[in-house]
Amino acid sequence: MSKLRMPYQCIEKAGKFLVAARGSSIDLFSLDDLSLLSTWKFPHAQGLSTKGGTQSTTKNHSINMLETPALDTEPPHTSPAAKRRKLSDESSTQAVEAGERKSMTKPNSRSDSVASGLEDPAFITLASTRGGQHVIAVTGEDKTIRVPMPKRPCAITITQDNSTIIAADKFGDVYSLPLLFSELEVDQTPGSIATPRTESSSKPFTPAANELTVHSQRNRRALENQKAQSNKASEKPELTFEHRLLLGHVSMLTDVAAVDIQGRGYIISADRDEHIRVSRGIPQSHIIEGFCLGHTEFISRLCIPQGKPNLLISGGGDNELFVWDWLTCRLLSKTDLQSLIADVLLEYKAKNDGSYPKDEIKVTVSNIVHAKHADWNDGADMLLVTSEGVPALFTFLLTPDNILKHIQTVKLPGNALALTTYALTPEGSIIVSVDSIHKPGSITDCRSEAEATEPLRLYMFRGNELNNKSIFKPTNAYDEKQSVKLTNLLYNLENLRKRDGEAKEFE
Amino acid sequence: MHNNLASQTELQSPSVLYLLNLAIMVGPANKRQKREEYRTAHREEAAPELPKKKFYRQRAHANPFSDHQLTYPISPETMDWSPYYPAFVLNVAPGGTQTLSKDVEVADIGCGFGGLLVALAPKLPDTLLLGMEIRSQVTEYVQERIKALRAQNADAHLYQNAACLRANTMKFLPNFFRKYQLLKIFLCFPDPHFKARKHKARIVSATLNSEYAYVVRPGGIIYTITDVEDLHNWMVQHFDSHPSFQRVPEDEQEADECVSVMRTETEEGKKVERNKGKKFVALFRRLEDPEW
Ligand SMILES: C[S@@+](CC[C@H](N)C(=O)[O-])C[C@H]1O[C@@H](n2cnc3c(N)ncnc32)[C@H](O)[C@@H]1O
Repeated sequence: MSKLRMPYQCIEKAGKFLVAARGSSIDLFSLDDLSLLSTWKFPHAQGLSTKGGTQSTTKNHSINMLETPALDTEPPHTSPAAKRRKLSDESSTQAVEAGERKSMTKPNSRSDSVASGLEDPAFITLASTRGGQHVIAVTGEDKTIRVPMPKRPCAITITQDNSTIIAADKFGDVYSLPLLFSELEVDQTPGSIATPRTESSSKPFTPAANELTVHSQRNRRALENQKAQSNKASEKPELTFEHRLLLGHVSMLTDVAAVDIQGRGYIISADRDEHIRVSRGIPQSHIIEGFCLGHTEFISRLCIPQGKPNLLISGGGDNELFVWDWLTCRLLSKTDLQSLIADVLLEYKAKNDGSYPKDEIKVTVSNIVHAKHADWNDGADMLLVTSEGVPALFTFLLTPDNILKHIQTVKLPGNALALTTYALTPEGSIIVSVDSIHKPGSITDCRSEAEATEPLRLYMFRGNELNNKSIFKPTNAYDEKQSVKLTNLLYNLENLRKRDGEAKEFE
Repeated sequence: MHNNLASQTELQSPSVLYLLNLAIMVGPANKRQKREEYRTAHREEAAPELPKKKFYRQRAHANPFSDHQLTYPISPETMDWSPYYPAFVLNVAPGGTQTLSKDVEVADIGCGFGGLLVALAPKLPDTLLLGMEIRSQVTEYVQERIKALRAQNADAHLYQNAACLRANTMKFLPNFFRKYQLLKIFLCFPDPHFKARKHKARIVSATLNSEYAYVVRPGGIIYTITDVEDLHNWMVQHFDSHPSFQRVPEDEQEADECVSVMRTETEEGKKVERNKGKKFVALFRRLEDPEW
């Protein structure tokens, strides 16, 4: 077993806790003393999956809801074993129990290209409610379904009234589901633009057209195909929870945001084909208000600064970060990120490959996080940005004329993976998860044990400047020779870039 | 004779083999080359004949989900329409970007070989019509067809208001048109995609209808026609259940001159006619967006 600690692919602050996902486990840390409170493991061994024997070939997607410990309870002073039970028994029982009740399997033959390759389904994204009571954790693949999703959600957000989860999937659809899944019913009510399923399996199959109504040769061929295919049983069981289709792109969705402004709700969705779409909020999400168009590569991250809800910062495969007035779909400014990244990476690349052409270095924005605190820099808005495979954190000041001004390149001991802010009065802190398995600047080369580093770090603002403060008390989780597979889990955004002649099917 | 040949073959066997191989290689390429030569020649002709369809055929289905190597404007504001509608270019100051005296207001989505465009253009002389087609060679055919028609009708100044470009409208419609820019969209004989698994490739869906609503202004019309009853029902169901659209009553539908053009002038419409098939028509009006 290697001495390298497992890195966290996503982290999320929830009240006084930090929720951090490594592979298929979730660690809960106290933000008071940075101690590990407990670990929640994917309930794989708890009878939810077909244990032993043949592995089921089903691959499912689920949303898991964890309840964080009550905010007013003291952190438990018990043994690690008891602590672990605390999270798995009290905190997530609801979700797991609910899961067992609602458990169902859904076959999905599509091979998942972003599958982690790890044995258990890995968490791919986390979101917390505004008060921090609940954390939503989404797995990339799964063998049983707790809260079944028709397609793998690739981005989720929670509406500002804390009532609804908005989930975007890689097939381009955006769905809503209630945050607390109480009544499970198929919903086809107003607000949903989904039409009832027509392909009921109970009815005998009748082809949609017959030879008399099909006239062109190709239509006739299609009909023959259809007949040949038709006698299989319907593959998809009905969904059994309230779940509405809100809107959709014919493209892979990469991020979604829900914003309230001037008393109205909006949904902003971004895709691989360079579109940022602004739609009305529920229940009028079928109305598109506009598109923020200007990116020339995939978009991967959207950020709406708190307190400035009319602004949107977007980034992805383009060399620049974009600042928008999204209500009017106006581009306000663009700021170069590529040369900042190149400056960092050239240091590492030069070490290994000698000279390296600077413009070949690609930007793949993996985080854009807004940080603001009344006591830093007179309450200025800071944006913290990371790019896949780059061991640095870039900080920008959002100026009053809506320009991003580069302030600092904070070198990290490993590639930046995830980050979140945490306000500790009077200073603001940033928690960064770094890749503790791969060498800084590389997404494939593993560290030697001498190069081991801790996966979670805390940085603090002093004025505009970020300083390394401390590290989290680590888990006992070590990499178990899965680092190659981990690459897919930790670095999957660059795959969004279009390659010449590529014919990538969504199916 | 036989002997003779045998000895010849023996003697020249290396070169004979070489020739045979060449023949195999040249066979199919020849046809392709002929088509390419024809198309190049047609492109370069100043006042060409109408193009021949057989040199522009392409396999029927292009996958609307794949990347292709499409070119599309970053946004409607960056689209240069001047090569498509040269007769409508405003003369602007040198160095300034060229603009048109009007915007495109009618789109024929999946226009195929352009029958509808060519029939509608003289009927709507003051409106710019755009055919959008995902198959590149079919697009080129329509472009050559329009070029020839413009040349043949130069005196009457016809067909200047019709153009065609290659686009995957399922992905990139908002790159070409601003909000509320269009007056009419035609969806004529769309690919039926019979299998349920393929339904998401249909050009009409709950989510795509929101994009049509975005580019069409309130009062504008979506025209649909198909020979596949199931697809007709699908389109009616999806537009009817979309809050931005309302079906146009039949009397109004039949009074619309575009409807008869759509029935008789599209290539698919003609094919169905020849086979004495049924055609199902439905029109939908874009409603005002509600207050909120
Ligand atoms: C059956 S043909 C109908 C052609 C023509 N409208 C007619 O009625 O004769 C459908 C056409 O739609 C085109 N098409 C399919 N999907 C498309 C898309 N996403 N964008 C643009 N064109 C598309 C196909 O290439 C094909 O030429």
